[in-house]
This record gives sequence, C-alpha cells and structure tokens, in this order.
Amino acid sequence: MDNESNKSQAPVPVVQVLSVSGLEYAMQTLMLAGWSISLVSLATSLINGSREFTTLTYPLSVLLVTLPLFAWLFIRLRRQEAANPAQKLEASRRRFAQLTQLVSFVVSVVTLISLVYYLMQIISNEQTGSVWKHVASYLVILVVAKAIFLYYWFENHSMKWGKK
Amino acid sequence: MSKIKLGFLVLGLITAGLTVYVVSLGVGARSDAKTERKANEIATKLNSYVQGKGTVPESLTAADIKDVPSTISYTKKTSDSYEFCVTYKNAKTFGGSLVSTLSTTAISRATGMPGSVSSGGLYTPSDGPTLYIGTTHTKGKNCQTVTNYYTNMPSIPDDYMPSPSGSSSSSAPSSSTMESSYCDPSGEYYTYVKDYCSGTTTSHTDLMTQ
Repeated sequence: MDNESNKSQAPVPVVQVLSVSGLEYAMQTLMLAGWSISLVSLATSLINGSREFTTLTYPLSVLLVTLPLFAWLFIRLRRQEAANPAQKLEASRRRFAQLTQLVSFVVSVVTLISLVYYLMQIISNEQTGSVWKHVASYLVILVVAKAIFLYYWFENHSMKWGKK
Repeated sequence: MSKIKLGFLVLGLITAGLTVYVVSLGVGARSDAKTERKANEIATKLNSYVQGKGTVPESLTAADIKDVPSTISYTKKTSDSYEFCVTYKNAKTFGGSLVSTLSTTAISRATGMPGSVSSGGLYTPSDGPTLYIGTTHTKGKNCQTVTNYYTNMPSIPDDYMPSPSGSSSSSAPSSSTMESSYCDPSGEYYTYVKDYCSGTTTSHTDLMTQ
C-alpha cells in the first residue's frame, strides 16, 4: 500500500514525447541550422575567391531546400502562436528556442575569439594571405549567428516583459 | 508578419541570385571538364610520341592528334622542348571554402599544428620532362614548358655491369672514376650533371627527377 502511494507521489515527466507543434519547432530548428550554415559556407567560399561549381553546389542545394521549408514552418508556427498565445509558453518551443540561442551564442563567442586572435596575429606579422578575406569571413559568421541570437533574445525578453 | 515576409523575400532574392551565379559556373565547368579530358588525352599521346621518337613533334597533327579544341594550344620551341597551354573558363582548386580557409588558420594554430592558407589551395603542374595535366588549374591560360631531358641524359657505359648483389663488378669502373669522367667541365654532358657534380643533388635518382 505504501509502495503504491509512493509511486503516485513520484515526479512524473511533463514532456515525454514532442507535442504536435513541438515536432514542428524541432523541424524549424533543424531547417534554421541548415540554411544558416549553408549561407555562411556559400558566403565565405565566395569571399575567399572560390568560384568553383563543385564547391558551391552542395551548400546551395542545402540552402535551396532548407530556406523555403524554414520560411513555411516559421510563418505557420507564428500564425498558430498568434491564434493561441499559450503556445508560446509550450515546453518544446522554449527548449528549441533556448537550444538555438545557446548554440548561436557559443558560435558568436568562438568566432569573436578567433577574430581577435587573428587580428593579434597580424600585429606580430605571423599571418599570411589576405587580411580582409579572413576578417570578412569571420564577420559573416558573426552576423548570421548574432542575428539568430538577437531574434530569440528580444523575443524571450518581450515575452518576459509582457510585450507582444 | 509583413516584416518577416519581407525578410524572407530578401533571403529568397539572395538565394535566387546565388543560384543563377552557380548555374552559370556549372555551364563553364562543363566545358572545362571537356577541355581537361581532351588535354589528358593529348598529353598521353604527346608523351608517348616524345618517348618513342626522342624528339618533339612539329605540331599536334604531326603526332596524329586530331580534333584539338581552340582552348588547347601547342608550340614547338626547340627540338627538345615545347609549350602546351590549356585555357579554362573557371579556376579549379582543392577548395577555398569555410572549412579549408578558417580551419587551417584558427583551428590549426589553436592545436599547434602548422598550417597556412594558400590562395585557394591551387596546385599547378610545373615545367618538367613530361606533360602532366593537373587536377587543379587557374582561370584562363595554364601553360607548361616540357623539355625532353631523357634523350639528352648521359647513357650508362656498356662495360658497366652491376653484380646481382647491387655492387659493381670488378670490370666496371668505380663510381669515383665515372664521376670524374662525367664531371669534367669540358665534357659533352657536363650541363646535365653539373648540379650532381657540385653536390646540389645527391643521387642519380634526383638527377632523373629534375
């Protein structure tokens, strides 16, 4: 009898599987990762002077597939959130938003460290190759990662402050 | 919502622009691949012609090479050398992408491994005794001057018979005797062995690979 009462009082996981919209948030996160990585890859390839078909085709193919899918999922989920504001507080949504924020933050910090390190190497004249190409490559990564981070940052904080 | 749609529209336009650009590169890459295949075909025929006849042909037609595209040119310079040029629409490298560029600087330096960024990881075959069409090339004209060193190499004396164990037989001249005869500056072949004699190259194999 005691065992039975202990079992009923034990913590029960709230989210065991992804909800219907939770799965869509997961897919949206994957598509976001896909298009942002491919966009950065394409941009850095072009900045570094790679005008090769073979180098550019794969990231372009990823971009062509992931960007429309991301746009469709993003607009669809935003409409659902507008119709049902409670969906914004769903555990799956928050989990993927936080994961995206954390990853983009780490990428931004690592890129910033690499950029500062590179600039310090220039002072000691230990770097070869085009300086602006390297700096531009780092800046592209920073801009994309920072844009994603800031989007979720302001969204989270506007929710916290009760703004729409 | 309209701001979001505008954002996606901008991203879509950038993607469309990139697609048009990459497709136009693909058209050029197709014609370059055709040129590269033909250049390899010609290289094989030219190398076997030069090795077989001991001289370079007057023209590609003389070496029985037909259907040469306008992107490939052949110029005989001397009886032992020629210039072979291939014109490509686009450069072909080992990759100048994110991974190859950034990893070789930041990551390789962070791990303490040597690494530097080349201008696109390009390897172009240098001038040599045989025609070699590289797997990478620059945009535009890629030329090689081929000099047939082999026909001018000093031949091994007939009386030189190495023993099965690898050392020369008693009747063969000693290596120092051979060296002194080839290293005579007034000798016929001194031009070809002067680096070896001065100690710049260390072995006969080095001499052959020059």
